Amino acid sequence: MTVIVSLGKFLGWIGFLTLFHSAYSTYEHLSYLKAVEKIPNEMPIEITVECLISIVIFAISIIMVAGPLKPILMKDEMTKKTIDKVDIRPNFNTFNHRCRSMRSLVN
Amino acid sequence: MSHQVLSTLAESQSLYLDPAIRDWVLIPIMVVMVLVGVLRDQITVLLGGGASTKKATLKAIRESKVLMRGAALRNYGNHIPPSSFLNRKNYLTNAYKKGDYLKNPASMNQTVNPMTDPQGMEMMMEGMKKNIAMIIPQTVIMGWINFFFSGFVLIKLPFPLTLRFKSMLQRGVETPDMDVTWVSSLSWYFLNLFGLRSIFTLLLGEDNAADGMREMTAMSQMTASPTGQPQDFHKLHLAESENLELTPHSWELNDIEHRLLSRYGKREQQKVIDSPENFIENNEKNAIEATSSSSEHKGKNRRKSGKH
Amino acid sequence: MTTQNQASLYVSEKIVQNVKTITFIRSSMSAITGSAAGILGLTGYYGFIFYGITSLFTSFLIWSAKAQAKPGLYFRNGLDVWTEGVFGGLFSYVLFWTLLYGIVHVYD
Repeated sequence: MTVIVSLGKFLGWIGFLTLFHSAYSTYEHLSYLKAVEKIPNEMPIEITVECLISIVIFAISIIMVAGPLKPILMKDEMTKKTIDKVDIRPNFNTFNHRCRSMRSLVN
Repeated sequence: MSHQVLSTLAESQSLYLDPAIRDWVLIPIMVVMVLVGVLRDQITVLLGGGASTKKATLKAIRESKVLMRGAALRNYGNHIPPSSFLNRKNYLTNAYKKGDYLKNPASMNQTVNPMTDPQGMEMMMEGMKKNIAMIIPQTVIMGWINFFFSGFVLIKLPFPLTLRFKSMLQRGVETPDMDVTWVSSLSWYFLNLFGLRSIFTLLLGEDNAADGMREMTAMSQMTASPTGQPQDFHKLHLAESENLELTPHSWELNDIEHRLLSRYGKREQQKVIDSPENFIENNEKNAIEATSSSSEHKGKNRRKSGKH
Repeated sequence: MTTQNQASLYVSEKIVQNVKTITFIRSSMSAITGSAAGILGLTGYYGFIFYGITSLFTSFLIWSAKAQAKPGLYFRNGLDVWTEGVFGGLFSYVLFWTLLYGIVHVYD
């Protein structure tokens, strides 16, 4: 499991770097266009693709880093319990509990 | 799509902002808010450690815990047979009415005065201290932003808003013609306030005290009920006894033999519960069938009815 | 035939844990997709549509990789996997969208 988690973290860093790189490229490109006084009409397709790829890389890394989902049905939980935990032996059953005093108080 | 989007950029890029604003206002405000949030969380942990060493008396704890006992009976009463449920119900309602579990039974009918009761005072001060510790950083940061960073436009919001927000979002800059999307630093503060909440959950784990929203809701709840901390337990006990009296009871394990047998395929699922004689007869018949069938047959039946 | 009480049908700690995992995934993804939306220069409706698309993509990833296409095992209502935590992520999406849009497109 921890192999997947550390691989996920590594992928996360790669995704972050890719995102940062695409952000910087966009900024540089826009500065260039503003300097040349051209209207920013077209963004190079590579930057857009790089941005989207970084999202995908990040998504995969987050899925790897996040823990597994646990099953919620009580049925599945009960399959993991041994009979000793669930069905108490009659040896250790106490009958001398406070219900006796409650019953006498009520009646 | 990139063509369309960027042409709207070109028309609306009417303002050019100094990058110094970005370096000295945008990023610092965000960094400060993150750091203050983390600081608040750590301080709450420190303060919380101090408060938990105060010991409460046994009777005081009993007072509040017995209410939980009543609630547990109400919620899970269907797990125990009717006789046990009735026993507990009668015992608890009598105890609540007679005030058996109260801290000082003599003060049953008097109204609790929070000023004279020393423990109540302590609890109220604790709660108020925590609230104030939360609200102060927020107001301080808001004042700091208003003082230093007002009078200029900070950033352009990517999404359009109606004109009503103009007065709120463009606090220092009174120009009637400017787009509502150009906003001042105060709105950046509000944006951060809402947006950083989930980041705090990421950084600090669940139940962190860096959340501004939770205390605001808690504050509004407290002002609604002024008799907050020194609660009148007698009234609560009486209310609980009424709730208990109204709870219906139907034992969940009433037909458990039915359910178990039909789950393992020894008996068809019947909607109607039989009369006692037929019940016993059917059980015997099924028991005989069960012991004589082969293990394969048992397995097949189990698989058939086990899929839910 | 009597039905089981809801409280005893589900293990509540596991439900809480699952919600925590989902919230973690969604808030991280909201931050990243918000930054991407700012970088790409999306404005107005396009930004919110992008959020819808990416949260659908995130839900699909959760549904396939984490829940193994059987969401009924992990959530009370199987359809929750598509909607849980989406609204909470919206605010951080908008924050990062504004931040990156401002840094990349607005400033000189």
